[in-house]
Amino acid sequence: MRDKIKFGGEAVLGIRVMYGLVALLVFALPAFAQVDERDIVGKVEAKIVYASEVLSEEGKPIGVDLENLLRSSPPLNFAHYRLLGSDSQPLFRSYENWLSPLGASKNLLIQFDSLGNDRESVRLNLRLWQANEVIVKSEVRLRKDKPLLIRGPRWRDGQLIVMIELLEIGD
Amino acid sequence: MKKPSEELITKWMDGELEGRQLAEVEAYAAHHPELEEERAWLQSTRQGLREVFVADAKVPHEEFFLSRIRHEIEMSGETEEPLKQSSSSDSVVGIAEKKAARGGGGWRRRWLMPLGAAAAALVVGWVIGVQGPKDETAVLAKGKGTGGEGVVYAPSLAVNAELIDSDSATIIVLDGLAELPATNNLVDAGLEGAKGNRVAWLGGERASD
Repeated sequence: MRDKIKFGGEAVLGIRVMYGLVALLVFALPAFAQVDERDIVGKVEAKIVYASEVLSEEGKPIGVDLENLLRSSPPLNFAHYRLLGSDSQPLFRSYENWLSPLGASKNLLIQFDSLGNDRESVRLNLRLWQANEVIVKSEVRLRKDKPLLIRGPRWRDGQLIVMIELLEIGD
Repeated sequence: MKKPSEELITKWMDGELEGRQLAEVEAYAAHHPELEEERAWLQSTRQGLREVFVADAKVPHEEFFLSRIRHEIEMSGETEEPLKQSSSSDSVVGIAEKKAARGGGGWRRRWLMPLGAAAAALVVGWVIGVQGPKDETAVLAKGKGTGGEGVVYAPSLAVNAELIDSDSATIIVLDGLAELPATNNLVDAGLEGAKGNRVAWLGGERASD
């Protein structure tokens, strides 16, 4: 009986230790894993626009400013534009960053990392993925008032356009 | 016997000495066989590299590779103006030599930098050799228009990439891409798809990259 009680006590102690470790993992480790704000260079947004000569009800309106910008760029001048998706993410220094404007879809993904920045712009090493293939690599300077527009693959009756814009930039 | 300066030893290894200076260093080297051995090793390495690389061979997609190598060199150490101002016609070895000369870290370091750069070029050459230069008409474009800032490169031979720079936007035009299947419902994925799934598959994507 005495042995049984002793065994039971050790088991309870073991369970408590195990729960303690689990609690440590759940509550304490995320605190250590918090992002250091100094590692964030800025914030970048990507939008996927469906451009076509045929009126489409798919997606959402893209907004007047973006529509005017696209219309003023000859290779991207189409009769109709619709917004298919967007994503914005912080741009981390010395890290690989991803934007997935089409949500869980792998149809178009943007991989990018910072090559350095000043107060007005950031130089990016950028890759555009289509499914599991890199379709273009580029080093470009992105300014807050000057987005990058990529005329990408055709889809249905039109063309997909990727817009990558610098929303914020750190000091 | 007084040891010649590092500059003289370096020039001797480069075969650039003549007359009294050459006699001075050779007299010193005669009593230091390790110097002779090192010079012989460097000369054989240099000869080997010459045999591998044709002097006037053009690197496919030169601008893109040079910009990447330049970036890696800048990131690996201090970034000083002379290096930033290197023109696109600078060779990889030239950039490394500039940096080595600036650092003044002695003749050993001066030798290591060009050899390191040559080794990097060898790796690049090997990669190009394995994957094969895609085409003589490079799918590489540099910014044009006002204040062109950027380089664009399309890995696929079928794709032509053009970079256009205007006041209001930088534009990359890609022609020859595979069309996305019409059955792919991009709208649902983008505006209504479960964003929560993204983290999971991004982890897989990173791991496989």
